[in-house]
Amino acid sequence: MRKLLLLISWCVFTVSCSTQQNFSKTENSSIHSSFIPIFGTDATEAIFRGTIDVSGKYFSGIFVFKKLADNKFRAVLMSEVGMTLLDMSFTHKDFYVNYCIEPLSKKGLFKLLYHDFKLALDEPARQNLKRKKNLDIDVKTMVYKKKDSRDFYYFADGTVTKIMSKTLYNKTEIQFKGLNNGKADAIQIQHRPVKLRIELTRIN
Amino acid sequence: MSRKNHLKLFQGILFFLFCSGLAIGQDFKPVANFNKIQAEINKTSESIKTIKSNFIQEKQLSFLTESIKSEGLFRYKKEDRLRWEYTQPFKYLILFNGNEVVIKDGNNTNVFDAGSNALFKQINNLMLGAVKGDLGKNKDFDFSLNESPKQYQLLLKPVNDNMKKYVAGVEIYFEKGDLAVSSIKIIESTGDFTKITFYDRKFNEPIDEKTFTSN
Repeated sequence: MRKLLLLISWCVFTVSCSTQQNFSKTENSSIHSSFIPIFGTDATEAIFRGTIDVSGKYFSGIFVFKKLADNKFRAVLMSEVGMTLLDMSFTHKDFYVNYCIEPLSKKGLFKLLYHDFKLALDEPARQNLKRKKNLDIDVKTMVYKKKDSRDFYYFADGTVTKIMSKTLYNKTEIQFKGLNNGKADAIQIQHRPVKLRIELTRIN
Repeated sequence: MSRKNHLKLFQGILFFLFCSGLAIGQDFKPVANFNKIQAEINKTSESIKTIKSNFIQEKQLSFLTESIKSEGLFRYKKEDRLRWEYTQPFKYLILFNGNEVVIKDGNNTNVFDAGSNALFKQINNLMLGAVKGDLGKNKDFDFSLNESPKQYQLLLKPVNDNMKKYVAGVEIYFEKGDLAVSSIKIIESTGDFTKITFYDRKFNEPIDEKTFTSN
């Protein structure tokens, strides 16, 4: 448990340390109005079966995401048998824990999940995304950088396929796979150098 | 997460699993002859050696427009063997075999000792009690018995502080036709609940011992 908390603390510390860069040319007219493939264009709820792997320690459960309003979300983590483990509301500014069972009630864990969920769910305003042509992977994949951050969004056909968040000591990479009608069938969240990995598979 | 803390988490999960059912739009009223009906239910539970059933699990969260549904297979063999297997929309297996609890998720298999501490053992007993229909014997709950034209409803309120952290109450439904458990509903302190409905129930049919191993 202490090892887990140390790892979480490391993640929380490192994701908090961001720097700024100058922007290059702005080109975001091709970005879809809803561009992160969690909810798609027609839904406000998404349910995934998921696993969390922290340095070989394994946990599984069901992840429920609800878009309550623009930039306002609710996330619930529950066991397969239906027990609510963690219930969190959050905006791009802060989070609130509605409920958490005792073994998981750790501030570091809350901050870490808040960071990852916010990064995966909260779409930055399009005017705050700046094109970084020099980082483009190929002709189909365009890279944008979020204003006042080191969060990079990789777009293909107007939808995000990957988000990369860099800080001094940590890198978080979110990959959206199996894109279909603006929704990803699978999502992978990987932290480095901390060996923390979250894998989500859509069930609804 | 250390094994100890993993175990504590698992205890809660198990408690939830084994106290989970059915909310039916029926009017229930207190039974007039409590002792007689409880004795009949207990007698039936004692006569059940095996149960084969399918189940549907529905988790209701207040902020979702629809419940979260999953389904699977249920196998029970007296006294203490149980296979609880989710088949849709994901695969997940929980096995109880005596004091051993096995959880299999894909290639990950974890084995726990159900008797490793008092609380875990208590939860194990509670779960099997719910399946066998003799939860009314459990001293950790205040309980009451109601009836509708087709069902009996056993209401349980935890008196144990540890269990109160996880659930506000449990409703267990027995069909009057066979006096066996047909559904369970677990209500959380937030008002959200999980209901598990058993269907295609078959009693006292042979079940191979291999059913209760993960291999």
